[in-house]
Amino acid sequence: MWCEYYQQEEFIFNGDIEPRETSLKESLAEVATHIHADHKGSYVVFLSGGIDSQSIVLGFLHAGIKPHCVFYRHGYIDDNGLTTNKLEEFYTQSFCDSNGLKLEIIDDIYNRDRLEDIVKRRSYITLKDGIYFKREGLFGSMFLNENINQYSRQHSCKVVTAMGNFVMRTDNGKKIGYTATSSFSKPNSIDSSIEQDSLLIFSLYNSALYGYYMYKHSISPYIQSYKNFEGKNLAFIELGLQFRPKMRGWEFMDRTDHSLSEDVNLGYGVDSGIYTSPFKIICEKLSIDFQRTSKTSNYSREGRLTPVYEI
Amino acid sequence: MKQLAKWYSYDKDNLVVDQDIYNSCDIPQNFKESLKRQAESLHSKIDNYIIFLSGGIDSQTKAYGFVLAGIRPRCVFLKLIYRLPDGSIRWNKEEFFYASLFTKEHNLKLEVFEIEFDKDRIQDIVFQSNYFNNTAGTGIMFFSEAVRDFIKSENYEGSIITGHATFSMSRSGKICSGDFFRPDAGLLYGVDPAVVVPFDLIDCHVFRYYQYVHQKTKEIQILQLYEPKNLAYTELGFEFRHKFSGWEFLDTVNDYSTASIINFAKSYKGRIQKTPSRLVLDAMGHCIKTKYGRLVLDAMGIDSKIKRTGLKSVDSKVRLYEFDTNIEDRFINVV
Repeated sequence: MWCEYYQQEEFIFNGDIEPRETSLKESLAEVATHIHADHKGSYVVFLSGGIDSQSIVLGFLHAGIKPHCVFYRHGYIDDNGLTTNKLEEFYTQSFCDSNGLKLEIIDDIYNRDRLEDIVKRRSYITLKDGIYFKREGLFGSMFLNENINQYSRQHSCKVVTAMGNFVMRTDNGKKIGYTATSSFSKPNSIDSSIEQDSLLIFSLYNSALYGYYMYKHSISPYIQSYKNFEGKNLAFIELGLQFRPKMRGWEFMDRTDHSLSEDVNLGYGVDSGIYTSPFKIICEKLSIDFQRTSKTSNYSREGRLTPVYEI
Repeated sequence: MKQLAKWYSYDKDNLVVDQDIYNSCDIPQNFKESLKRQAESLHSKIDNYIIFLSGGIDSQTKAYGFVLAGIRPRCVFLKLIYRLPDGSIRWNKEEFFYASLFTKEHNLKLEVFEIEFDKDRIQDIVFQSNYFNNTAGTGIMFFSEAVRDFIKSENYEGSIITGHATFSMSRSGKICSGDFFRPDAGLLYGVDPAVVVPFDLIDCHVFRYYQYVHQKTKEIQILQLYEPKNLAYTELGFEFRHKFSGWEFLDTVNDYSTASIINFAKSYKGRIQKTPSRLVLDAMGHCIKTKYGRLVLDAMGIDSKIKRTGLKSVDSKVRLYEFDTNIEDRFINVV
């Protein structure tokens, strides 16, 4: 494995990244080939409606491997009925139909008690001096992490996920590639309940993908014209994935009927797409007075970035 | 407007698609093929034409169609220069950056035609085009002026290939539809309509492909609004770039390298949302935030509560097709 996941907050890379003059498809296939060779028969891929997980599945397919794909159909039930992540399901199912893939769908329904339990265990909202404090982070990961542990335990296998953003930053002529992962999703980190043996993070398994990002960053004046460019967006122009609203994994609790005409965010650190505050939604579900809350946190987006290369 | 296309008939108030011709058009199997056929058709009908190449995907997609057909079109970049009262200048260099990358990549020559705007000239064209009393685009106003200048200085007598007649795909409930703007929407001010040829209307290959891709792609059908020109990214592999609307050269404040949002439904939306009419007023030397500014605007006969809107799309749109999606009802909130 190229990257030992973490020692506390740090990534440990086994060797420097070298630019790889290839394509996104080829680099994804190379990573997929390594994972398959090392874990054949003992891994599944968690698929969602987003481009991250769909890109890695395309990598497996390009390598001639049909991975076992699993989709968690999250739902929330209360007196108003059941809401589910149907948009995620739509994009996941369409992807599988287009690519001749079987999809294992697992229903995972939350109610008030279960939501309260996970929020407390994750210290997502804490009460101090009469004020509810919200912790920062990628809230969708909270639910995903539960599923990773659950599936891995039940099936004695590893779960391949796409977790980990990659940012190509160009500033004053310097081109730096950063990997970014939420502390929620770092195995063994204080915030995470992911068990180390459960997870294979696709982009960190082998250096081929980041090597390609480095190459692309070094040659593309378009990418260099942006201060921040998220590497995963190359999936649109190189893999032909269709534009879609951005989903984050907690939308199954959202009853808002959003307009499905949205943005693609090429950068990093700017929210876009369907956006309702997950914090507000969770407060509503748990009958917490949203007015008596604070978003204060020492969380920093920049703090999540770890340099991988510098050109 | 030249009526060179045979697949529709058009007079001032009405556009009628000849369904026999439209339906008998072979369906292109990919976007490239549709652009290639469209360029070939145009090339066979018009001898002398020019493409004003900008940094955006609209004009570059058209130019790419010619490249695919083995034709090297004449490409001209309109360098819009804004001279500020202190003598300094701002120009559309971000657009030039993307335009020159495109021509370099496809081994095309890029001519540059310069036009300078200062406070007085902006004021002149604002009044000439009745800018504050109509809803046409701000970028079109400057583009038109530049085109007029180009035609005059070159004694140009050929045709101008444009990217207007914008197409949109939409969904309401179970019904998906495709609409395009009539040829007179977004016309160039003061430019003889006879020389203006919208690339997408000269034949029906591109629209035929749009219908085909809409009908076969559920991921597009589920969207309530989608501009198929964005297929330039997902099918042609064009690299992402900021959306420009032709008036950003007046913007002396924003850094467009940080404007990293692409809206796939509407043209005029991005993370940087400077109001173009405000920029025009700034350039004319009027600050409408002040009482004095309002008085000046009143004296100029301009409504000081200016709130310009976009094109009145309902009036200008032509419905080309409709079909029922087979997306399951539960995914699209249809009961």
